Amino acid sequence: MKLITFELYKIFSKPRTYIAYGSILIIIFLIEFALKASGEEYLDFILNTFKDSFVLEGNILNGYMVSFIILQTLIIQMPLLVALVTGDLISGEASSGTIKILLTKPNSRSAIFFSKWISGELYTASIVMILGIISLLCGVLLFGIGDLMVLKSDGVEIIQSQDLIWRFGLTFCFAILGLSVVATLSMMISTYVDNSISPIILTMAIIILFTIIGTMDVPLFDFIRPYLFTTHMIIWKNMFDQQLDFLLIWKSSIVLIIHIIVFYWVGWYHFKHKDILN
Amino acid sequence: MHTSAISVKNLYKSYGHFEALHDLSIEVPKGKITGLLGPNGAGKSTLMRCILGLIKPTTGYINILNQSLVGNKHNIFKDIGCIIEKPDFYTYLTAKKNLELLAMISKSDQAISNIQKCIDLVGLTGREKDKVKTFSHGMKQRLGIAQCLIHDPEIIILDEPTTGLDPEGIIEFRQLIIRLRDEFKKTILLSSHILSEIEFVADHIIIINKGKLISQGNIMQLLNEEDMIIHLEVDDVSRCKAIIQETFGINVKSDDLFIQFKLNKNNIPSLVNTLVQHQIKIFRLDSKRGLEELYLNITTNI
Repeated sequence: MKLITFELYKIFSKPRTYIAYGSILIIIFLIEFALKASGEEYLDFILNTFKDSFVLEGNILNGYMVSFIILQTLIIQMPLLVALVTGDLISGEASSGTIKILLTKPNSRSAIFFSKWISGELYTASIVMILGIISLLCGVLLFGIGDLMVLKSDGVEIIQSQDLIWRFGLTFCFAILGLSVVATLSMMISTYVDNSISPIILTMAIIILFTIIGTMDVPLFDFIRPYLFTTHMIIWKNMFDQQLDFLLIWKSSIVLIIHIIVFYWVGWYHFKHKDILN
Repeated sequence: MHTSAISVKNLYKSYGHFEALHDLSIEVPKGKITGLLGPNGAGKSTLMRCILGLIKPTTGYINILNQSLVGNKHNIFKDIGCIIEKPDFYTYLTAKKNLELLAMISKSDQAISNIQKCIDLVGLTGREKDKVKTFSHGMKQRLGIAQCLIHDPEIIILDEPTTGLDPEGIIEFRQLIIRLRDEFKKTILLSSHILSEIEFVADHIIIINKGKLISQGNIMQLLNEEDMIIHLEVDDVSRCKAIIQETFGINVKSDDLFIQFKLNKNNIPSLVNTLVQHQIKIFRLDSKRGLEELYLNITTNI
């Protein structure tokens, strides 16, 4: 517990931690302000194709809709904000030399690694929760409540407002799970390098590569796609399907948990056995 | 006879084909300052890092305070404080917060209450609330020592601790080391490439080169076994040089003013007599036991 407190204190004393929180808050306020100012025009634009087929009534641009739009926008930036901190957890200590002090205190390397991982996970959860709570709260305060209209490639789905809070809750939990994979991956890379920039760049490079493989409709990639964590990270969007596919959600959760276990084990094993030479 | 605080037996460390340590066995006596000497790349840092568990030896045994390092790191590290190469801290935190955090994970009940005492001891009183990034190298070095001491360890390991310090800082550091031995009864293992520094403070020295032990023992015993370095200032350098070479059969270096040579300390009275008999006027005679000379002899004659 003392080690976790030690790690959390360090994380929350670094300016880079607040870059993530700051950028989330700025983006939330910008989007909400922009939608408040010209939300109707934005809605007209995205609903252009359905205008002739449906009659849309009620408070369409409500707090839930705004929060849903923010989630879609920010979920792309979140891995970077996570890697910014978790990629620095071990390599940052190696580059500054503090790893030597840390490892010569009476704590096992396994305990140190675990405490860093837990602290990274808590940080990850905190940025998702801040994103979720602030966007929902501000959205509801500024735009009120109403049913959520979700645009799909094959039509529109309307989720009733009383059905939305738990769906948002489930989405945040799933986002935390998906970003935990990113956090564990960047921490694993962090054990192999002695500077804090490489884990961030490598993590983002892997996510971009996997996303490209996942979205390109090439038969060769069909075999790999189900095993990529990026394929499963975006399953949160399925929380806003009228009928939830629980089997798909469970399968994706298991794939993500397996990724976390593998990345954790590789990182832990390397950290436990690595010689501290710098 | 002192009991050993640190005992290393048959230590090997290889990186691929490169052998950084080769069958190294050393003893660090309790309550003394032990100087670890060796040229760059001799394996000093590797040895210290092996002792501190930062590097895993290929084979060999390390016993600290009568416990094997393998399987007892937790117990052992409660009794060790160290600075490896340079004192590294969380520069975005204050000096005191650094010490508080490190005390928190040092598993020592008195560590937190020792913080102010250690800050006072190293002379950082009044600066403890400043961020470490504003500290000079010398101040960081002092903070490093405070960090070593907060959990009141029995052994202090310092790897090249005076690197980057100014002469005043080196003198202060040296005084602090001696105080830690004399007042606080600490065992100190100190590596340095500044030989005179080791000579000033160490009771015991270990010399290694190319990963192998060259010599170890009490510093006075090691130095007594060697010849003295004699510096002579006389009225007739060339005649004096010839007399010394003829009488003692040794190599003598000279310039226009001085003569320098090695001589066993028991022959110094005879040297003076001989020169007086030959009516050589002696203006100055210096004799010193040099660790530098010993060190160079040992490391170059292997």
